[in-house]
Amino acid sequence: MKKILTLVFLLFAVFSIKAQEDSTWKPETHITGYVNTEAEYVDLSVWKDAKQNFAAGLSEAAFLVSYKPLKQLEFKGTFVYSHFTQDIQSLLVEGSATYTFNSMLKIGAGKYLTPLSPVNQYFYAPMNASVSLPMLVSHHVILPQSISGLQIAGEFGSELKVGYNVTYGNYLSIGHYPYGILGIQGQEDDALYMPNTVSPVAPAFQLGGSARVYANFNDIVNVGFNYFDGRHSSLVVNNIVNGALNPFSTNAIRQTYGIDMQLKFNNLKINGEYWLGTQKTTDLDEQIKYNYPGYYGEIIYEVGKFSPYLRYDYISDAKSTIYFPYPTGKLYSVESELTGYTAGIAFRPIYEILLKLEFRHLSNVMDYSNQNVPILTAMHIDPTNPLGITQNQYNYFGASIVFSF
Amino acid sequence: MKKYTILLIAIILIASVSLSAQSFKVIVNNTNSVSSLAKTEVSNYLLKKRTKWSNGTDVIAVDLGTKSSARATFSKDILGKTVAQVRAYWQQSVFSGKDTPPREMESDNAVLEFVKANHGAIGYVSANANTDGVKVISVK
Repeated sequence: MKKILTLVFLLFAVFSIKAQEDSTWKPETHITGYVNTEAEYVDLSVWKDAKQNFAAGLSEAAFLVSYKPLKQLEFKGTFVYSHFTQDIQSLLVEGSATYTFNSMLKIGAGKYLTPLSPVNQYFYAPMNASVSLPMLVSHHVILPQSISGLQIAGEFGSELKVGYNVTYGNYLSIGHYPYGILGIQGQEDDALYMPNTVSPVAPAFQLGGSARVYANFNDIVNVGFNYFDGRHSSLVVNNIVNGALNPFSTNAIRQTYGIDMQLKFNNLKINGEYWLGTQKTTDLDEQIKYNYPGYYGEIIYEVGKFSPYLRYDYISDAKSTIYFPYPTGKLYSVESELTGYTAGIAFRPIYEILLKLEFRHLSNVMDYSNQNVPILTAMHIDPTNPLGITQNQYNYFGASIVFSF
Repeated sequence: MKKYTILLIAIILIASVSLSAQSFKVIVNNTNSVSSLAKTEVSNYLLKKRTKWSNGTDVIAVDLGTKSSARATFSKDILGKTVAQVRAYWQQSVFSGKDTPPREMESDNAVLEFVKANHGAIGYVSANANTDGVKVISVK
């Protein structure tokens, strides 16, 4: 107890000394934001039967405000609305206060975008050239979009910078939910909204943490190592007892490892990431274990106001269970793999306007062949014929206009 | 005729380079011992990639408003970007939580006053601004 009191006293002392240094500081406010409107077309016949295959509309409207009453203290709030936003939790993407002792030590509290690449690099539309996000972001069962809690970060060095970030707190139970205008893309959402999750659902907020270490040499090479630990997560296991669905929730460990690399040579940028998410139950006699690998590579060439790009990405998607009352009355597992080949171009004639055009060829392989451990996801389930392996290949055309201020 | 044409082109080129070089002045506080900097160093300070002077003092960068012609030239010559690209750079930086842009001042006088008042300050003003009370540094 004495030690804690001493520590608290020291922290107050440091904060008050730092605050006195700020006597000449004038508070700074920074406001920015954007409105992203998209048009999408997909030539998927299954999709066409279920919905329209062309749509245009608002994708997101985002507003960011940063306020620094002291040189060392920054408040940040980011609100992002999309037409799939269902609650205030989803609307407030970031809300935090961060105190900077020096470049090597920043301590913050609040809600943060998970400071792991690629979420941090791609989440907001003006930050990237593409209309659609890498599947690691849009279908990220393997890492949460945000964490609410405490954050410690810092950076050492000058030409060669080595940085770290540790964030710990609650995160939203993750799945992906239709996003974009047609719902081809995905976004994080509460487990309650997972279309095929049955009651009782996993707790919406679970405890976890992330750690990232990176090295950056003169902005030419950047290499990052990432780790996410959702040690206190839970997994809903569907079960059939006497012909009736009897789901239950059990404790599970969720761990995700990632490596990312960004290279920049003059106008050429190359980005690549590999991630492996794992989830395993801890209390069942027969352990259930899932692996979710995902990766992408992309090349972007900046020619003045134009940024053409190519991307290849892959993700082994959510694995869970689904119950088909018809025709089998059984539970099935799903192994879902998504592969994407993307080419596009972005054009930013002035700061306020960013135009994007994109073509994407997608392949979605779903394997329903294992009974008794079933599904979640996704887009192209044909409930009248759930058995076996299905493959859908389709083309996606996207265009977006992002107005920034 | 060919010689005259080449000469004329050379004069235009020299004049344009000279005009560009003279359209802004990079300034620091009078107490700063620095008298010249490389372009990349100035760029690193203004883009907050370097945050300390060699003596350990914090760098406080200050920018002109987005409509300033000196800013357009400075951005192109020193940062190697258009003003729009620099704003996009800061937008990315703000959204990703890396940093916020330098304080923007709407006039040369405001920049001059700011640099006079802050030991670690660096900024730039129009070439015709009266720079008494601050140090103009050469950019290599």
